[in-house]
Amino acid sequence: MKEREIIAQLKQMKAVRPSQQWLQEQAVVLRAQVYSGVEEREELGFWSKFEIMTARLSQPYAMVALIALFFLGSGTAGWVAGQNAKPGEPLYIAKQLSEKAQFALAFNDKSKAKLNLAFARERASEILAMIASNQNGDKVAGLSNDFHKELSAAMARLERIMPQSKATVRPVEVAATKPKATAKAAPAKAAAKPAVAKNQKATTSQPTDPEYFTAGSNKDGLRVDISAVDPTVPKVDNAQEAVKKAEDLFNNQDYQGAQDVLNQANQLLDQAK
Amino acid sequence: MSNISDNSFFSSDKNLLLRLKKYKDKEAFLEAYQSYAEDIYRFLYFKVGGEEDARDLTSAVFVKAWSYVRDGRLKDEENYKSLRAFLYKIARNEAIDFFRAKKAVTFTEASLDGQTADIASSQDLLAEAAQGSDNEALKRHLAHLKSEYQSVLVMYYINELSISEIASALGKSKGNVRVTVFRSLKALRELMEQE
Repeated sequence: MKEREIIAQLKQMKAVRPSQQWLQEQAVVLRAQVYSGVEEREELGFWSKFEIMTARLSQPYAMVALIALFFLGSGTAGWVAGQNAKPGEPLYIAKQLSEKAQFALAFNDKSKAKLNLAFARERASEILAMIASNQNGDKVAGLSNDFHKELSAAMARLERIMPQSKATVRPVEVAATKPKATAKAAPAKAAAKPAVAKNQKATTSQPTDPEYFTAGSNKDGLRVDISAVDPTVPKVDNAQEAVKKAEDLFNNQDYQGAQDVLNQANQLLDQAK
Repeated sequence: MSNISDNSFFSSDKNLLLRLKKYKDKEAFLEAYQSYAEDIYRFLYFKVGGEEDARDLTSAVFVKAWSYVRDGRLKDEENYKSLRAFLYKIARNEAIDFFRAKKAVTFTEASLDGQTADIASSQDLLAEAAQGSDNEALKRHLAHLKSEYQSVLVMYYINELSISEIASALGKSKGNVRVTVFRSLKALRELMEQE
């Protein structure tokens, strides 16, 4: 006999039932026992029903979904709000938390080193902003301290992941972060071509069409020339060297230069295997 | 105020359990009786092998279950994720007590013959269930299986409990229940093939 046949026979046993009359009689007896003298039916009130519904929300799957939603929502909101915060502003803490979260989610030395470089660059940028707004020196000193900490951490990681002999890669020519005065802005690349051609005639030293990064912005003056080489940015041929150079520039209070070199270091790190 | 028994959301197994644990809700208990009395009766019928005993034990199960609810002891039963599993646990214990009291550990072939004749004369619905000799043989072999196998087969194939409900009722892991279902079916097939 096959198991399937046995299962089919077992299912037929569902027909075994007590008589409906007995069931109803028993229900009456049970009701009398349950209420034991209380005559009125008790029914759940509105708040009890509400509590039951909310209690069901405390089921693990619902809680996990709610917690995930909370962290996702608050994390995203905090990240967006804190990106432009400066030290001393209430949202700066959100920025710091966001950085810590990013760091916690980086699982290898290369990603962590890249984050260290990015955060160091951010500290340099914040110092520039603080100086521009004549903020007090304590905060600048704190940021400076943080900058050095980030660089030290980055350097330690770079030593681990790319020893000096293997770290050398093709030097990167990094574009200036400032819009060029000669680069007359156009809304999009296609629209920019006539203007670019005009510029080419004027500056014959450019052998190819210049390329611009507009980040979707259609405003004049907001694009960045990514094909031109800025002679003010020093060339470095490995990430460690770039980090050292950035530290020197920072110590000489060339905060913009330090940022540019840190950008280079990040690109060199991207190119390195 | 609307009658909650009209609302299937509040009458689902988990919500009935919640209403009993949190509010000792009498109506929830009576709804549970309406929903599960047949299944508990059927389970006990196959355990003890007789209509009268199954009826008595079914009544005892619900009385005992209510005493758990009334005394607030159901709250302590954190292991029970479903009300159905909780009722089966009580039913199983009642069956064990029944056999202890009667010192009749197995549902013997001789007693089955007598009871079958008795049932056939007194219960029309049971006669419906016994469709031909195959079903009779199946019932006889079920009675010869060891108690755990019998419980698992009735719960899983006849009363259609989920593996996790059976695990909760028997206090075993889900994996263990799956293995037991497989072994009990195999044991039943071997018994039927021997005939």
